[in-house]
Amino acid sequence: MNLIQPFVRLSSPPVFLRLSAKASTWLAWAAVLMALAGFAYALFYAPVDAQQGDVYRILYIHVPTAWMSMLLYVLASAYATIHWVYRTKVSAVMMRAMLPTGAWMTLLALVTGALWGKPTWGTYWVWDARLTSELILLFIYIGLIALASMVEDESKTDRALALFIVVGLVNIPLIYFSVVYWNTLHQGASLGMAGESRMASEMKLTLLLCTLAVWAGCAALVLARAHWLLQLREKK
Amino acid sequence: MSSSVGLEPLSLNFGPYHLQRGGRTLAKDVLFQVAAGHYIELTGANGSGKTTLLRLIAGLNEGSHSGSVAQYTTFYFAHQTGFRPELKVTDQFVLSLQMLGIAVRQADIAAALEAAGLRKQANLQVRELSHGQHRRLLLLVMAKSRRTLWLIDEPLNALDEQAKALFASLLVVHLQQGGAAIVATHMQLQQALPELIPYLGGNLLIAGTSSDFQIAQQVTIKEKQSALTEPAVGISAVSSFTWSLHRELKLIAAKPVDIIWPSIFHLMVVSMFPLAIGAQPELLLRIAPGIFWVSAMLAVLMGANRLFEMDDEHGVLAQMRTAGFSLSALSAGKFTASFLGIGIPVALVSYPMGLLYHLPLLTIHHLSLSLAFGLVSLIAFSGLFAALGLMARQAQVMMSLLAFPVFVPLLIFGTASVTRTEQGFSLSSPIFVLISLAVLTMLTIPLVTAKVLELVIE
Repeated sequence: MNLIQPFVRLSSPPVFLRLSAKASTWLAWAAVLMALAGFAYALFYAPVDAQQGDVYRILYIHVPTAWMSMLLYVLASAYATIHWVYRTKVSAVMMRAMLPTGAWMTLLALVTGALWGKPTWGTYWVWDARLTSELILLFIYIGLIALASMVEDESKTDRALALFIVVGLVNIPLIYFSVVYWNTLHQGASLGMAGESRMASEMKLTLLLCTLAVWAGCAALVLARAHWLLQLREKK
Repeated sequence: MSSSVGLEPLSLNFGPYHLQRGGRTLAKDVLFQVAAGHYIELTGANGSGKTTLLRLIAGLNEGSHSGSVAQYTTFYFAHQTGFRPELKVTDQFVLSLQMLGIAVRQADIAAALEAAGLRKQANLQVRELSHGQHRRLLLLVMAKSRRTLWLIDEPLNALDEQAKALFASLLVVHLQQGGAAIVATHMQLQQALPELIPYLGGNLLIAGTSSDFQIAQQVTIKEKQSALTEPAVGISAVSSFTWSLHRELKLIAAKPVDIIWPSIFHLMVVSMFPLAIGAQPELLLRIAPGIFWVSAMLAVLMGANRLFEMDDEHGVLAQMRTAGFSLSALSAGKFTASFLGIGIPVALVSYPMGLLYHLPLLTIHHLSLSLAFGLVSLIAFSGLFAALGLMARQAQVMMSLLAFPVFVPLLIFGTASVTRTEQGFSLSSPIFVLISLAVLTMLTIPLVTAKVLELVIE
């Protein structure tokens, strides 16, 4: 009981408004600092990759954003479940706030992946299982954002959105495995990412910094948007 | 709740209710009671919250979770009748009663319609009835509903003198049997219908944000009125499903032409492709599974678009909710009927289209089979999105955006089941995936759809 007490307190709108304002500012600063450090590391400190040359450095953005795109969806579905059960205002705005950020992260992962793919694979896009799943994840985000914006009644929208986020979560593994199956069936380009397991320790450190920067940045964005959404609702 | 199990309540207690519309408070702490065998009048200016209160008691508004809803079986005589214009009057009457869990004997139908002055209209479609005749039919359903509590919204609208007398006599019989009623009206009911005066149990006036409940002088609970009619009503899941399927098939039978449009659409889309990319038989053989599948997806999305729309507009969903009818069963019935009406024809169209594409007969068999199984899931998901579309602007766009990611696995396994057999593999594995997905969707999606429909009704 004591364990969940802080979370229960957080579900009260005034408490959340106060904390989210503070936390998003702090996280934004942390994100900026870590991003600066991370970029400096990525550009100057991390060694050149033996196979790919300098172009691999874009992976320091690509990998964290790709992770984030999936993590945000899982988090959004956690909030969706909470909202479906308890119907709290805070869970609704958190769930809503995560979708645009998740969509941006997915898009960023796709774009950086394409920019990395051109010099490395010689093409912007291959119909690889991972890339295709990421593209469909973007479609799922877009569909949910459309849902959030098109339904008139706010509280109904929240619950419908919660339901469909969870439906999407069930669907994502199904999509991934079907795409893997499709990929083996059509003998598509089987190009793996080279050298992930043989990273130099400087590379690992840089990747860690960049990942933390993206985490903090996304958390700041989500909290700021949730704060703003909740403020709009409280005014009514 | 004061009433304990085993004791019949002498009066039905309501409230306290908090009436809200669009987030604004209309009235607070609305609290009243209706003595068995009596009715109360609900008055108030336009927009004061009369209908809101009735909907709340009928279980149709958010926050109507207080005990009163489940406690008394309820019939809501609303502006929306819950009738579908395409159906025959007799069929609609029987279906409405069956939905309420009441079996009707063939012999009783004619007599009942006669009593309501609808004998001559028995074989017409509901759309051909006048507004007043609609109300008469609804009165008849209410009279046969065996519900304890009647919630009546503006009963005298559009009724002629004869129908008013019918209303009064039906209400008197209901009250004499120990039932109760709440009547929302803007004119004094007992002036129009003096025979109701002995049964008036009180007057509830909603004005401003307050409400005033006055008990009428006449209330004395007579002995024969002490027992409320609370029969075991309700309808099992299986019979709800067969009811729903039966009704959908009747609706399809009323407009049989409608089922061919998705197939025609599918046929046209498929025949566009050779014009665009050439008609070499090897090429067509390669692209056929993909094109047939994508086109079938579009056809289903188009066909299922309005699956729940008419039932929502005509208040069928609301009546089901009040009656405690399973919305999952309704969805499952609709999906099954759509599969028969849209799915099977679209799968069968593969035969003529396959010949146009110069496909070998075996490939056409596989294509048609994969579509038949895949369409079960496609239709169930489209139905789910159609239910969501009831709440949205630009429902069609939103439905497509949500549907395409969901359709990806179906598309992959569906086309794989055809191309793999062409490459000499056995048909089995992808088709078994399609079958298991079909079973899974038919077991789960109706439940999810019911949740969405509940949101729509609120």
